[in-house]
Amino acid sequence: MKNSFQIFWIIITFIFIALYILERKKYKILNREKIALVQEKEVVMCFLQDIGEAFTESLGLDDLLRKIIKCSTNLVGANAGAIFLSDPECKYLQARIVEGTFPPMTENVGLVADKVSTKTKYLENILKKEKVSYGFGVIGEAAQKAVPILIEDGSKDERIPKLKSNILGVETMMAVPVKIKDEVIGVMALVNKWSGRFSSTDLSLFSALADQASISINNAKFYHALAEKKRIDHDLEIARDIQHLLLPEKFPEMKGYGVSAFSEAALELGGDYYDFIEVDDDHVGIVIADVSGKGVSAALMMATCRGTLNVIAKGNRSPKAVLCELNRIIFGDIKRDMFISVLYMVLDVKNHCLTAARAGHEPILYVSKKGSKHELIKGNGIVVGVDAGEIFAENMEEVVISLAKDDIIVLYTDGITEAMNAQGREFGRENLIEAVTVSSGGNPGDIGKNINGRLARFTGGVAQHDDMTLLILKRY
Amino acid sequence: MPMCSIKVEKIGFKIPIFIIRVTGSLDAYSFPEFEDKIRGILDKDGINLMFDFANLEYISSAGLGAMMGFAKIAREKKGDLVIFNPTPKINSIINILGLSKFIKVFDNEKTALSAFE
Repeated sequence: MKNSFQIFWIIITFIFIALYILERKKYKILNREKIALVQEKEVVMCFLQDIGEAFTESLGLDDLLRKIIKCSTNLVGANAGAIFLSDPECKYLQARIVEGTFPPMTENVGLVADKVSTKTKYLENILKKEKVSYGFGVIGEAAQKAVPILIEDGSKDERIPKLKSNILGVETMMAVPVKIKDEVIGVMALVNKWSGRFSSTDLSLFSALADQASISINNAKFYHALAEKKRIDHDLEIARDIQHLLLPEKFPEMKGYGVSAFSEAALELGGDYYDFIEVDDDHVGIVIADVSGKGVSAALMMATCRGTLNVIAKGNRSPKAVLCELNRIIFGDIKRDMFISVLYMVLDVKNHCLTAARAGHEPILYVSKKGSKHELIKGNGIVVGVDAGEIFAENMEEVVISLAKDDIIVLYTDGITEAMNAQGREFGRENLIEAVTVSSGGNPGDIGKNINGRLARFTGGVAQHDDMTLLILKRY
Repeated sequence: MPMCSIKVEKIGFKIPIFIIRVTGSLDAYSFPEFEDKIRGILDKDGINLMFDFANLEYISSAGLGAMMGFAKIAREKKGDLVIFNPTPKINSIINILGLSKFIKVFDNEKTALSAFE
């Protein structure tokens, strides 16, 4: 009885000792894992710090990618690394940045590299030129399946291209997708370790680095787009200033006449303009024009039209002849889906006679008898730029208006009559006519202010989609 | 801002004619897509186009410029382009610009078809 009691206690003691040893082992394993996690955390923190510094140093995407792959190879302990970026349609990937001696990823290009040289710079150029299709090899598979890939032993893996050169051999490799939200934008890859082979711990660390890198890449792209937008905005601002210079700084002095005008572009650059040209001592040319479309292309055509007209209008008293010549010149320079509506008038200041020709522009609003009578003068005509000359000239009509005292001539672009309010209604010609007739007792500046005031009240601050230009001429 | 949609019907046996029914608003926002679709028809399918503008509420000058461009391409390829059923407003814009001298405009589908006989 006593013996069996002793044996019982000995067994219990052994069990406790065994349990203690087991727990001790578990503790050691957990402690090792803890240390590994802490190290990984430190490595990631160190990486983030480096990337953060890269941001303060430079915002260029290539600089940032270079920093990312350099940090990754150092932190994981790899011999070489590369970042491959996807094309916009996600059909293939191309190496953007290479660090160290990274072998080509397709055998075709690899053979060339094999034969010629193993110099790092040369290899980098070869690698950057090769297109790795989605799904092809390690890089293509990591992109297509959007999963990290670990190849512990490269000699046994068919996805590794077989190259003759030992220097280019892949002993071990890792490839991880770089994702923004769920979209794969590229693949980061590391080949060969300083010592041994890549492990699942290395893959976990490399994946964590890739996740951080994707955020940085996304930010860099965003900053790059923002900087590009700022540059374009700056260019547009300068272009807008230049375009303003193309409008008359002051109105010409015409004895017995008053003038007012304004032009406002819907975007930074407009396609509308107005101008006054000294034809000869007694004749002044007055033009309003509207280039189809908006923005840069319209603004360039507007500048071309203005320059051409200024040259050909000097000394020529016939608006029809001037517009035919303008059309002949512009037709060769204008895109086939663009045109310009132009209204050109020549005012004989001595005889108070106005001759006008309308190349597809809005009709002239002629208000006479102190605002009691109004008329829309629609001589025939076709826009500039759609016909080489014959049909344009055949259809161009010249109209002559004899201006009495207090008569008013209003020229406008369709941006005025088609200005819209929040309900989608257009300002219309009727509102324009009323705005002119009720203020016809005032000078052109007063009439312009009245039209502008009514336009502002009508649109109620709704942003307009078309350029607006208005010109008012009154005989005193 | 209402968008623009198009419906394409193919008619005719000896000479294929495409009737393109345009609905909505053809402005700076909608016209690039419209232009791509019509250019696609002109490049691959046919060169005789009839545009039904009955349900087209608005067309910008850039949209009309694109129509002129299509007409030029169609004619270069020995085809033609006509418009039918435009709203009075759009008809008036086409007339003011003088574009009716280059693109035939018809009141209805039947008379528009006669342009291709």
